[in-house]
Amino acid sequence: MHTESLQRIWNARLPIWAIRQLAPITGAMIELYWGAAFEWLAYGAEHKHGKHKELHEGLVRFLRDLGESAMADRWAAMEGVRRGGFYGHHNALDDVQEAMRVCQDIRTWALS
Amino acid sequence: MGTELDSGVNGDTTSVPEASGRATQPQAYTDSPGALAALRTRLPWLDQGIAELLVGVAADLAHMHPEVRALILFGSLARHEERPLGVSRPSDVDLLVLLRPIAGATKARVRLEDKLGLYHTIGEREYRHAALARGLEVVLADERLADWDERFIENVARDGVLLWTRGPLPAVLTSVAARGTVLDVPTSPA
Repeated sequence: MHTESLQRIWNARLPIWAIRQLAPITGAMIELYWGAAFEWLAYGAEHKHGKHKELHEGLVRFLRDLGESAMADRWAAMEGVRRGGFYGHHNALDDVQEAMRVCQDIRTWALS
Repeated sequence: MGTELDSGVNGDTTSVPEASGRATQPQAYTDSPGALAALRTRLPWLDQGIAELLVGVAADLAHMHPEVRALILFGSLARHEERPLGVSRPSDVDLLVLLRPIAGATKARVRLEDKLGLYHTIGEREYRHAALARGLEVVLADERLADWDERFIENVARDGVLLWTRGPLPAVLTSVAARGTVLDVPTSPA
């Protein structure tokens, strides 16, 4: 399963938040929360429905198929945060916090 | 699950409210053959499924989201340089959704709560269609586009296709408006 990967990614955020100068690494932090959100979705889907998806392509539809539309919306939002970094200059701390909020919601769902 | 995975950090315990329920579906426009014909006249390379999806998304946003100002197709599909269906990764459908600025906001950003509502509407519409061979990539942006990459704005200005709008586009996208609007969706009051 994805538990080891999840453990590794999720725990990595702790020392990162302790860094004083976050500006140079905010893009990497968004990637971290994106990766963690993906792993939490896999964990939650497996935990609740006995199946998960290995690829992020088609994940929104997969979640809707499971009846998890709120999580589908959040994954779409997480992808949107990432695209904001690609197309805009949206790698500020506000964007990291948005990714964190979305990831936190997904984690809460996964553990519920 | 280990305790480390249960722990939060730096107050990352906030949650985002659910997307609110929305009003009735704009079925009449979505079912109208005129809308589909207009889109396929302008963009004849679109396959039927994608064309139907775009009409549906435009109708939903126009009817259910007064905060949405315009819907623009951009990227390789707008330029007709898309990777074809049948290859391992066909090009995505890139959609730019322009939103009216948040009252009093100093930064040209869209609130997460509003984003979730929009992703919900677009996602539900996409889900009602059969699984499409192309992914839908949505970019939500404050219509001022104040802090977006210049190259991104230039690309949209050069290639973007205005699917639907509720009013004038920002000055940086006047070239998109000049090429005409594809869909004449009846709108709810702004």
